[in-house]
Amino acid sequence: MTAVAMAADPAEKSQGTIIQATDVSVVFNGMAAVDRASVAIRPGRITAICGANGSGKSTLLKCLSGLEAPTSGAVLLAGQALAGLSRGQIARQVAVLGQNPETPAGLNVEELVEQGRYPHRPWLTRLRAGDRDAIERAIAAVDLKDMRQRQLASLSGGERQRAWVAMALAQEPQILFLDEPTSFLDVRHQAELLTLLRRLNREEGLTIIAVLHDLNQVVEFADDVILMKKGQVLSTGAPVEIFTPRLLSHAFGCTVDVVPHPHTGRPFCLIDWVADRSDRDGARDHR
Amino acid sequence: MRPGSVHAASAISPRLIFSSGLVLLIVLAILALMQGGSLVAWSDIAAAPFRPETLAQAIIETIRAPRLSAAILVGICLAVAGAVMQTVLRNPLAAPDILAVTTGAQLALVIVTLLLPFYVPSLAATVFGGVFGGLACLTLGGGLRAPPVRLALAGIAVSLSFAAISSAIVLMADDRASGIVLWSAGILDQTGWTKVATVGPAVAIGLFVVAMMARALDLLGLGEDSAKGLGITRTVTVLALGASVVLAGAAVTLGGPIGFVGLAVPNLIRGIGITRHRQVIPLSALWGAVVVLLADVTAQWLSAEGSSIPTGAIVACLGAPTMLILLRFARIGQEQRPRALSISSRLPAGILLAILLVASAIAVVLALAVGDGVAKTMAELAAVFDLRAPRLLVAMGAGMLLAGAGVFLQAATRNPLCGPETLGLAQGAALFSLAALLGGLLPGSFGFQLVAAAGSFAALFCLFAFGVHRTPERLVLYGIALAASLGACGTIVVVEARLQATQALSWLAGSTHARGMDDVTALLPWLAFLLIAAVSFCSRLDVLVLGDDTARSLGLSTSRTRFAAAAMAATFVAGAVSSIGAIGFVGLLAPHAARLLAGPKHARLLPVSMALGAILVVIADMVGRSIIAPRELPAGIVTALVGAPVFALLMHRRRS
Repeated sequence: MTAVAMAADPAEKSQGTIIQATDVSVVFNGMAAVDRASVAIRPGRITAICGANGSGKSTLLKCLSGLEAPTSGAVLLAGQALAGLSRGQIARQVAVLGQNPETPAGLNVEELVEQGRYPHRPWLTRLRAGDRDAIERAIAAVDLKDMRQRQLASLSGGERQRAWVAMALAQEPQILFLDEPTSFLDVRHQAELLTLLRRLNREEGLTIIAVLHDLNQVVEFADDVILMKKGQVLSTGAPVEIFTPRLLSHAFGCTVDVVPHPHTGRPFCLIDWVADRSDRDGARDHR
Repeated sequence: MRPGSVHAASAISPRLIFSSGLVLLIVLAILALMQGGSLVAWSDIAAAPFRPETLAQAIIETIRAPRLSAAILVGICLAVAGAVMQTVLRNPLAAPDILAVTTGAQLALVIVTLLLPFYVPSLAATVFGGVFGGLACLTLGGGLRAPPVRLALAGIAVSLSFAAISSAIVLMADDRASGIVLWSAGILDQTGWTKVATVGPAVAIGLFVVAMMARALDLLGLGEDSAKGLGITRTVTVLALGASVVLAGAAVTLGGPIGFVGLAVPNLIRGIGITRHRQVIPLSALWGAVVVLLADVTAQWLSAEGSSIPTGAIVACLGAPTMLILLRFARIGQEQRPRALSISSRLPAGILLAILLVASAIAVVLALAVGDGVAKTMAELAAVFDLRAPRLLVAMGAGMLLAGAGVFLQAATRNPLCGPETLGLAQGAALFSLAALLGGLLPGSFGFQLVAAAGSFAALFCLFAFGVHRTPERLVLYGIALAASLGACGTIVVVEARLQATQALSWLAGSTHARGMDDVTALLPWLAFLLIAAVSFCSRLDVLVLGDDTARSLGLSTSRTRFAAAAMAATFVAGAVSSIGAIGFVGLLAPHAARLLAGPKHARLLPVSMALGAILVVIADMVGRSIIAPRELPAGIVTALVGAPVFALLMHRRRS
């Protein structure tokens, strides 16, 4: 991984920002999906973007990663305006793992991971030794060495997700964006993936920005959180600090309680799944 | 609320629609009777009911009135059949021609007329064929409840297969190549009242059944469960579909395969806001008659002295706009992104190379040795070498270009159903080639090739300018409609300009007939371009197939790359078509076959596809030259015979 100035202890505030978005708006058909959002992402940290459906999480992620150009406002990547950088220049610093990416039929793990070298390869050249090394490291990092020749279609959901992560790692980015990386995985595979990402962050200094749905995952996993509602940034900060019942209930439009976690003492979010209290002890349907 | 209908702006009074249709029909009917020479005057038509013994009356009674009745009946049958199918299948894209009923009927008619030694009533044949075609479509598409777009594509795949078989039979049985135009495009010429009289009762029964079911059809439109709850049984469904197949069969018996009426008219009526079948059915019937009659009047008006433009071709010209409007505005459920076959065996490079070399060698030897008679000795071979070698080389070059175009298109659209022929690029280039031919440009000249390129680019523009390409299956459906329209325009040009039928056919279907070394030289720049494009683009195509967001995050500018890839494909197609015509299915199939052998990476996929494309065209050409020697089956018909069923198989595989 490219070296990034980072602190060994994430609690210690890292200096500076690696991505700075100022007054970013994205307007689709007259509707603002993101409305004058300003955020600063600090290097070497894990930042989660949270919010209700349609709150503009994915759109903000696309703006920050350069996949989508904002209608107005500016995004700076390491001090340079994204709009002024070419796709290739962005791709050498930033990798994005989309939500449920399409897998072309017949591709195997190694061939997929190879594609991660695309931004680093000069035109009309074959893979070089440096490219090979990066591919090897990426496959090793996600622990898919034994499955490198397996076709993607034959992998389990968790393995396939790891293969995609490996492709993003082969890109040797400083920043990795993930859009709901855990949505299609069962709890075990979710835990494995988050563990892997956390290791990459702590050991290699990879800056990670992820859209996540599960609030308790966010508390465990992220150093910082961006909470969104209706396209606007509601609050930013460490989850431990900003996750309050009032703020979360306001953000999601349902009752969210926050209690101390029995083991860690960190905030633990309780969602009132069946809002009708009178029904609590009566017959319930299987929700 | 019907799931399929085009949403209406405001309801127009059904009565107004009915009376305006009726007036239009009467005007058109008078025009139809007066058309074709100045033998019939106003006074004759006014006097016709009293049957005066004049020449004009004789012409009206024996030629024009039967044709008029046939046009009206065909319109009624197709529109009513379409309306019923759309309701029963709850699929706005359903119609006799889309569901392969028309082509099934046509194939049966071709078989009983040209192949069977004994007499079979043509209506019996068309109804049987229609049932067969419809069942094939339903089986392939996934039954009565298949998603609309998929069922439509399955039907089209079956249709293409049947049409290829029909064309082959017609060409083998009828040594006039012009026969194919007459058989495949829908001609309403009648000789007396025989056909109208035999088909009439069946039409009456079919319409009666549908009329009795108008209320049941209303309920079916509500959805299967509610219909069942209201007492509608499977019998109703079967009876309704049966009646619509009989109507479609009658239409084919009268006028051959005429498409798009059954699709367009009922959707239009529903689009105005009319939903009750008590009104939808008669209004569809009336306006169906108006549309076919209008097309027939136009066809006769355009027909030069002695030539006759098929009415079906005029209707088919409207195919692309109809499909475009439907796909834009009709409420059709979402489809999934089609996936390519996931099997790929990945032969080791050495073995793959060996297989390709052996296969090419066999193809080359066969292509040189076999044709009109088999050359067994070297002396015999030398005698035919000068004739056959250029054809072999042209076939190889065109095959490579088409296969390359297929790979580029499939990568650009990330859609395994795309090919030069399913997107209309080949037909566009062919139509413009025909125009160039008429304009006096020499085939093989640079100007000619340029015009062909303008054709494929025009088709590309039509394809992507209207925004239906958001879902892959819709893109292909629209592409095929576009191809049908461009092909129909080609047919009209051929008939209108009285091109020599063989020559014209070779552009529309694709053939290497009479190609010489000049044509080989003319292909070389295109092949050079293909090779340069393939080398410089293959890693980009690898990234492009990962999907837009992923490709962009890897640093690829996706819209520019996709546009460039499609433009290159259009260029390859132009090169191939300007040399051997719109040969079909090579560009669709070769990439799939190559994917099976070489896997999805374009560095291997592209060369293997090109090799397979070359082999495919060479073999098809060889078969076409030898099977009915000394006459020739165009190579394009041979590739369609193989390709259309494989296209159908591709549809089927994706379902499972």
